[in-house]
Amino acid sequence: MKKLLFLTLAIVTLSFISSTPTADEIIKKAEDRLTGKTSYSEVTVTTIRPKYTREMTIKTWTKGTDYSVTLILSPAMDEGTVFLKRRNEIWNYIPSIDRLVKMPPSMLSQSWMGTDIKNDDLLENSSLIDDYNKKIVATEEIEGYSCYKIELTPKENVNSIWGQIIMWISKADYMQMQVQYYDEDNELINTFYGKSVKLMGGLKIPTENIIVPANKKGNKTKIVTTKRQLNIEVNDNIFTTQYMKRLN
Amino acid sequence: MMILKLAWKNIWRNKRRTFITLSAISFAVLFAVMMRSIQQGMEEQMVKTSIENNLGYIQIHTKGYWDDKLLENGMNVPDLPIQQIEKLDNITIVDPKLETGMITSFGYQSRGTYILSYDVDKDSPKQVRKKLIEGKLPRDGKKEVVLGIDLADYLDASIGDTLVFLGSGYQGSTAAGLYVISGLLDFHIPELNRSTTYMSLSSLQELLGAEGLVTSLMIELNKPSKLEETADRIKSVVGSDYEVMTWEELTPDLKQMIQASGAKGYIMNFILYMIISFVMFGTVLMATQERKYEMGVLQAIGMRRRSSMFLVCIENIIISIMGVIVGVVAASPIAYYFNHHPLELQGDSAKAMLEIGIDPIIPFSIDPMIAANHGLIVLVISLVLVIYPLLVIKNLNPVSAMKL
Repeated sequence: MKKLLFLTLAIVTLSFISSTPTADEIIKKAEDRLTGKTSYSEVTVTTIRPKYTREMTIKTWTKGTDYSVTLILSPAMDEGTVFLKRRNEIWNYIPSIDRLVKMPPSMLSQSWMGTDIKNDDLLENSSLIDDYNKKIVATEEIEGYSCYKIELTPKENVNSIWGQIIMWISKADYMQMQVQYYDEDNELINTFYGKSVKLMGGLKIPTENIIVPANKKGNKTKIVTTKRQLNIEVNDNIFTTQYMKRLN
Repeated sequence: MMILKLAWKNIWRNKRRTFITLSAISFAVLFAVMMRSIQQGMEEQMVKTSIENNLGYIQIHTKGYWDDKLLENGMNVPDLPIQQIEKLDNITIVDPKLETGMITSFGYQSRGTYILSYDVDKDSPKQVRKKLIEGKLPRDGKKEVVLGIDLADYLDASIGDTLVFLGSGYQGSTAAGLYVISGLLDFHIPELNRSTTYMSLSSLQELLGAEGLVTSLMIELNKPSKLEETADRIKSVVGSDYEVMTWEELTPDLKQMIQASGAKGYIMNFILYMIISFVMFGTVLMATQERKYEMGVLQAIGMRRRSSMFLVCIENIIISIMGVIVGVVAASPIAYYFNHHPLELQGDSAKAMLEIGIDPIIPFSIDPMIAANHGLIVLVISLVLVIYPLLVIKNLNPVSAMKL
């Protein structure tokens, strides 16, 4: 009888522990559920500037975190432009001059297609899981979702462009609802907002993502996912430079 | 009047003594002027190189462009009061410029580069042509480009090859184009040779999809010394939507470097003047001791102390003025010669100057103010040194002075 009581107690305690996952687990789950083996999405990117607004529609295929290919459908001027990411390389095919250009390292910190996304962000391989120390600091509500507020600081000897990252990840479904990026001087650089959560490709995700640079008034980029499929069949050839011209 | 005549006679009475004092003063002026000429020549050279390399004495942009160099912060040429600015005093050229960063690619090599442009109708092709070492400048209306030799080397491209340019155009559009290399440039500055390409203004506007767009107006001056006044006048013409910046504001680094070089120059000049003062004092000391007997006799036969002090003063002023004139006259042709045939630096110091973007040559400055200033300083020193003979005369005892 005593044994049984002890066992029940142990099970109860264990299940209690596992019900509050560690910060590492939360981040890993949040990352893994987005990547999948392969993915296909259709996205509208709106660049908002004080003097103009520009809208792009794109299609993206990904394979793991190493490979992705992005095809621009509109505006008409950029139609058929293709970006290919292969591990650490970015290739760009420009249909108007029928040429393929490899992105030089010096241009990685530049803006991608005039948006608030940097070329670097497309390459973002350095996993948050390995390079950062994580700590749950609070529970806060964002967009009506109860979220873990997690503080990430780069581990020693890790070359990180960020001094600190603060993430709000929903307790249910592990969605990134808000992320703040700080530089080494602890100044806010970018804020990422996740909005309008919908079920897409069998997953609940924020379909509207907004990037707001902190020091540029009136600038932001809105990324709206209109279609998303996970773990579909994707031909491996699609992730080669030879295929870029034929993607259209 | 008699004392003046006496002083004049005294000067030519002992020609050797006069010659020694005079040459001490002349050499002092000569050295001081030469040294300052080199220093100022170097500073002028730094400014000149920067200004020739696409900076200009004054630039006009849309307010905010200099802090955030976006094409969207550019200006539309028809909106600009270019003709009104051109009419202002002291302005030689108002040159519209468009520049941006882009990827330049040839084969599988690519690199981030700066694309600069020049207006074919303005004077700027001359500046670019000076750097051209091979081939031709891009013709207007042709898709041609010239680039730094090190960049061509990196891309493994040469004249006749077609380069790909890729980047952000106006308002976030993609700008991409194919351009044939028509020539190679050597800026003598590694940084620029590695990263700079030039095309005509109209070509670049077309590539960026922005007709009439320029990022700055570059202004050349007749008299660089009237920088601030001219900038103020331009400000009142263009209004508050534009920023008017002088080269001192555009490159505070250069301004600081010149200030640092100036401070170093002051210390060097101070040391030089200390040496000059002692040499001059030496000659004055000698001349005074030599004339003690003479002064004693003058007093013994009834000349008042004040008169003989005045006499020595006049003599000294005459010799000093002559010395300064001789020094300035001797320095001028030397400065003039080295202004036209600058000293060329070799080895490490030349490399160090190239690193910071300056031609390793030192043309001497021929600013007339140098001679005027330093001539005046030497004159003042020599007049201060008169105090010594005056003191000697004041305390002179005729009897002991005449005992040899």
